[in-house]
Amino acid sequence: MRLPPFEIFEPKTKGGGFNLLNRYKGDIKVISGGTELVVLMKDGLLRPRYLMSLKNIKGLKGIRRKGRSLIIGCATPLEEIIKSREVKSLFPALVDACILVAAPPIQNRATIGGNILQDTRCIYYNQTEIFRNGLEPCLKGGGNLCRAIKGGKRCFSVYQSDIAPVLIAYDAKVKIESKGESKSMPIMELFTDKGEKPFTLEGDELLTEIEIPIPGNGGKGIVTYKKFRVRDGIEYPFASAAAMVSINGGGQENVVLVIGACGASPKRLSFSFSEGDTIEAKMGEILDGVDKKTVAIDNLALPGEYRKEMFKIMAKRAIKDAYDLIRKEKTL
Amino acid sequence: MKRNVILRINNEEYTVLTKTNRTLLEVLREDLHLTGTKEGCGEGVCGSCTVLLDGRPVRSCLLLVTEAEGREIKTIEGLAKEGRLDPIQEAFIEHHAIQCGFCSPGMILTGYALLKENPRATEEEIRFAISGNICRCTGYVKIVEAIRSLSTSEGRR
Ligand SMILES: Cc1cc2nc3c(=O)[nH]c(=O)nc-3n(C[C@H](O)[C@H](O)[C@H](O)COP(=O)(O)OP(=O)(O)OC[C@H]3O[C@@H](n4cnc5c(N)ncnc54)[C@H](O)[C@@H]3O)c2cc1C
Ligand code: FES
Ligand code: FES
Repeated sequence: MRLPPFEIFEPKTKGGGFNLLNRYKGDIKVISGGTELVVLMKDGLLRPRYLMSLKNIKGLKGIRRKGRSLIIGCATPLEEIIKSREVKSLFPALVDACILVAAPPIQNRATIGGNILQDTRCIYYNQTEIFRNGLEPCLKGGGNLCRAIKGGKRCFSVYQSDIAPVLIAYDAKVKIESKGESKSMPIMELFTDKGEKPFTLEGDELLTEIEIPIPGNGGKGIVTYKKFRVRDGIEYPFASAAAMVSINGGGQENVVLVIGACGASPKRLSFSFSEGDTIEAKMGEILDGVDKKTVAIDNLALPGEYRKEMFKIMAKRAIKDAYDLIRKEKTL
Repeated sequence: MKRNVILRINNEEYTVLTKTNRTLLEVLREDLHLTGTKEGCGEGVCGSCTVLLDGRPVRSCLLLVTEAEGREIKTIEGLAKEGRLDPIQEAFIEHHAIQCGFCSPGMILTGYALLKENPRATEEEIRFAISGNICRCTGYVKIVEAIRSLSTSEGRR
């Protein structure tokens, strides 16, 4: 499979990069690890006239502390995150999620920024050009029909990042920069929840940093991540769940649940319980919430109905693990 | 657009005049005739295009040739020295870990990189390391045994 033609720029500074993004907005795509972009371009799903490589720009890679936060540069490879002792001790579920992305040779190139900004997927869309040529373009491909659901008026493609749900559970923020501008926002605000255009990011903006707050002594929460896949290597999640459970001084329990692969964006739910509530009562409420918030149709390799059940099972397992870990910490 | 791309492959420097919309895999096979690196899926799934980039296995089918500039590239052709196979190549032969051979360059390089980084790799670590490489012939057992035979961890065969 060949790549369509494009011209590539390799700016050496962030400023140089912002100028390029500004000048060619709409015609230019950022290439970080390239493990997603190259596939989309080979399939002819993206045909940018220009690419901008991040490889020579200093300051976009690496993990560092800033006050009460850990900062991860957008171009940091997953492999570096997996090997970082600091990440392992502060945010172990982030390491778990990175290890679950594809397989080690992809983790060696894939970056955290590219992972967050990976496009939504659908078996009728993520196909070779030859396959798609026989069909009318769908909503995501610029047409006006949905191939997954007859008469579908919107795009049902699925956001399958393993890392974003965990970052949401950790309350991470992203820094977005462009020529002359810089802003920071909760990662949830990156998502439009629309399959046709999943991100709020504009064509001249670069996601430069991920900032994860380091939990204070009082409110230490435990985050866990569960991924449902059929094979143990090289498989996007069919359903996933990140859970954050924290118990405050008064015995109040807070549960934040983030479901992945359930629509065009991860879905965040939060619950509060008092210590006396039984786990059954809690689970009933939580799983009802999951049912209401998630959508799954037959547009991945497993049936929607099946995946819909798996959201609840992943949620249950993630929450159970988090409670078990908290109990273990208490008895230590 | 064409330009000169300088690549360091198996400790030698190559200057290739090429269009920039090409992958390292294409340049290795078509321009430099280093055809030991195979193309299976061309989209990151199978691992037959594995090369080492600064010592780490990566997909050469997903790597733009320009992104490989300035990095140390090792292909399967770079393992044998002075006509002698590398011990990992010997081990694959000895343990019958090669059948059709299509996955072998990728498997061997992945095993080689793992043992360089972790000479005491356990079976579990070996299986994780090769989890991105598909073999349609051997059933993996022999491949794991071949890599394991060079690991200094306890319990190896
Ligand atoms: C076989 C295979 C299996 C995979 N399995 C999984 C999986 O299990 N789980 C999973 O989560 N992913 C999976 N992926 C997808 C992908 O490899 C990862 O999401 C990876 O982390 C993407 O990172 P990258 O740096 O390679 O992104 P790139 O391909 O470089 O970029 C991805 C997108 O983000 C944009 N982008 C990148 N960085 C920035 C930035 N800083 N600012 C603005 N835009 C940016 C690019 O323009 C592009 O649109 C798989 C891919 C393959 C090929
Ligand atoms: S050819 Fe590169 S992974 Fe299959
Ligand atoms: S030996 Fe044939 S694919 Fe592995």
